[in-house]
Amino acid sequence: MHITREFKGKARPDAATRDRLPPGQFVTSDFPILTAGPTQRTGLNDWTLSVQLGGKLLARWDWKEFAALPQTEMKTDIHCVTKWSKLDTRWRGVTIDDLLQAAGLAESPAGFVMAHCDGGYSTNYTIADLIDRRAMVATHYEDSPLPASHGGPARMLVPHLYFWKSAKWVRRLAFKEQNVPGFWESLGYHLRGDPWREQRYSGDE
Amino acid sequence: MIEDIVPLDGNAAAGRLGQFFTFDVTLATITCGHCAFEGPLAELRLYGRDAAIVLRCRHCDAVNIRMLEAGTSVNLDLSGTARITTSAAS
Amino acid sequence: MNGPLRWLLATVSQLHEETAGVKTISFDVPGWRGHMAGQHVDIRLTAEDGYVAQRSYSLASPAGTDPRIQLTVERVDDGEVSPFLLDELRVGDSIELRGPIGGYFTWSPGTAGPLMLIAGGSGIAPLMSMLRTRALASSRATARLLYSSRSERHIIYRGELDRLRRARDGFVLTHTLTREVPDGWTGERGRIGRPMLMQRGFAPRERPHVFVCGPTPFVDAIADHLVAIGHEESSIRTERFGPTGESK
Repeated sequence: MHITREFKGKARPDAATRDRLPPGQFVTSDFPILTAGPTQRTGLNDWTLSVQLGGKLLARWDWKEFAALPQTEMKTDIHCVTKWSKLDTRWRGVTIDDLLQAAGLAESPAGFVMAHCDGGYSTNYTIADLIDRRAMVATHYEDSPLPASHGGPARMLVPHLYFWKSAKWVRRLAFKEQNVPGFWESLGYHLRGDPWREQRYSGDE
Repeated sequence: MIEDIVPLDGNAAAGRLGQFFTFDVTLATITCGHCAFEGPLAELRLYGRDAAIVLRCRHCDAVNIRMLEAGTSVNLDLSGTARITTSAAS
Repeated sequence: MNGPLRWLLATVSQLHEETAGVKTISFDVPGWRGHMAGQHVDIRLTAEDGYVAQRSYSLASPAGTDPRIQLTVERVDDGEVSPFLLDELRVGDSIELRGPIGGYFTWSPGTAGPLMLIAGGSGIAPLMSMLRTRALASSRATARLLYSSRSERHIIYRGELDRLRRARDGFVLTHTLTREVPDGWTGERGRIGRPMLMQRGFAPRERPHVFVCGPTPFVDAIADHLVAIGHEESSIRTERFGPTGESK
């Protein structure tokens, strides 16, 4: 491969920033994007979020009900598989722990979850990656309600994994007995996607 | 903040897709597996970024073609395409 | 043109400023297999720390096997690649390049029938390759270009387009300006819509080959207009660039 003289891409981090970056990542102030389809626009009047196990509906909230659930604020770095990381992003939403509790579930009924989204996008998780305040359904970014282009009305936020796991326009969380690959995972991205172990592709450890 | 997603078209994916085809991929006719719409691959709506390509039907937006350059392998998913047609080699 | 394309090493031989945010870059590409008008290339830039960026750019130079080719690059604010190409690249530098790509958006001088070209901003680049190819071949095909730019100073290749127009060989040029129109402007003003397409383009019954290139919203709107005024869908070829021209 030919190194291009003086080409640097966008940003080169200072030493302090570099410590916060997982391997192979670069820092940007822009919002990194990896699109799979057009922006989805679901009105708040039509929006619901469901939790299900097999064919059985465990819980469902409309927007008003969902907004009344316990709110959590999170400040976190996000890491996109395209190698761009954005530091110190602020979000607000409902943690998956609070969601499960509101659904009347003392513990998760299965080991894995598939998030289903408007537009057909999906992504899979182990339940361990969603609980203990590691993940939320986010409704606000930087104090403002999430615009549609950002995944609004609500998106998954699972920042300790690559950002393709923070699925936009989430509508349904389906518990599963097996770890079924979602949209990008079935194409060759890693089943789990831990940026600190650089789990980008399905062959990676 | 990010702006609305504006897709390109199949022309911009042609270089990468060319790894899989011996014929000119922009001239291929794609039949959508969802709605049966037929059109040039060049006119499919292109989402994704660089090595992660998603090509959607211009008529119904269903995913027709996906491709990923995944480190040591390159993966092509045609499950959303009912048929690919190209001219017979002369 | 069949078979996988290899990455070639392209060396910058000339840098020419077209307008304030646009440069034409000439490359010498040993091993270049030749191209048709309208095709494009992928370029690949690798930084010392391993970061790789890849972009597509249309070939602006005319069709042929000359290993010196030209790309016309427009600045994307905060872009990864265009600021480098416009600000850092020097004569003698080399980048990796792969092409030619794309037989769908091409025109050859042997093609019978009128040539109708509609350009938005830097979408003029592949259409300029077609016009240059047509001129070099002394083609008798009548050609009309509708070229939409934000203002006079945004018009790319203005001098050369005027020279082509003065050659009186069946080429008709229409400029339209969408943001700033100077006093005494004799061209069109405002966005290209159905009236302008009907007045300045070929009629559907003349069965032109139509090529539309520019930002996605521009191309989508023009393609809809063309079909609405009676042009056959199969006669319209489209190529969409990013918001200001950088094709990702």
